[in-house]
Amino acid sequence: MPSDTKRLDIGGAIGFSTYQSIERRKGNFVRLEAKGTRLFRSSMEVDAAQLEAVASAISTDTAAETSGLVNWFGVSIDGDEALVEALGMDLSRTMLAGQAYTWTRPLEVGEDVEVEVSVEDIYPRGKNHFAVIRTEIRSGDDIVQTQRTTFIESGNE
Amino acid sequence: MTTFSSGTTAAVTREQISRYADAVNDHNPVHLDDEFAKRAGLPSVIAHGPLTLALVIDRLVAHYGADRLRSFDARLKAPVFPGESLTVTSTNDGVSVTNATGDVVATATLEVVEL
Repeated sequence: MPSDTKRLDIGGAIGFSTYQSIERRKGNFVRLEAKGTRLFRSSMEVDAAQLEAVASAISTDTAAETSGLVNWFGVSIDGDEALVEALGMDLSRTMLAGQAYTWTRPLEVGEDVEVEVSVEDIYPRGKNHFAVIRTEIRSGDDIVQTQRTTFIESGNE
Repeated sequence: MTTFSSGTTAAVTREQISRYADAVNDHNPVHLDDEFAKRAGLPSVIAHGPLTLALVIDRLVAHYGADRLRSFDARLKAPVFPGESLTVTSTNDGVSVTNATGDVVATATLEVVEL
């Protein structure tokens, strides 16, 4: 995993071919042993263009303000190859079940933050499996924001 | 400032979903390719869950301001399709999000502070 990247390269370094990946992982089941794995840790600058891209998608008068709260760091279901590879999920059976944020303040353009993404928990429930991914954003010693993302992988192929 | 009571988003558009896919690098075809979505048993593409939640949080930001929000813990209950607007209504401990037909698509607990 990169540990000293200055800016997250969302366009290339962690991108991959979605269709191929979905086909390749069909029939897989999430790897229970992935619990506790650190997927990503990096120092990075909060990039104006990245916040603007998120704001553009929200597309309201308050979108710029909101973009400082809804981070994009590698926890989308198909946004980070490291995430999908580590979990071994079959994307065709996987959905986002929940997302939780805690904030002390919005992110600010140009500030330097440390981002860490890890597999907080993986557990079965009935036929399904749940995977909880935790993203922590720090500024110095202070946690600025956390995000917990819960995926559910259906046990039905 | 009064407690949030309700708010409605503009209808979610395919262009918006596409922009969000680019912004967060989530190009799962279930969000972008109708044929793929139909093979998955859906009537059309669906919005990314985090986009749906970002639109909900944006309604809260419009009311409270981003600086006052401390936590938001959401459960996604149903997919959101292009053309659907979302109504965000306060509950005892947060908000409930419904589509135009009244189906609950998400619920969330919410913590807001005074500044």
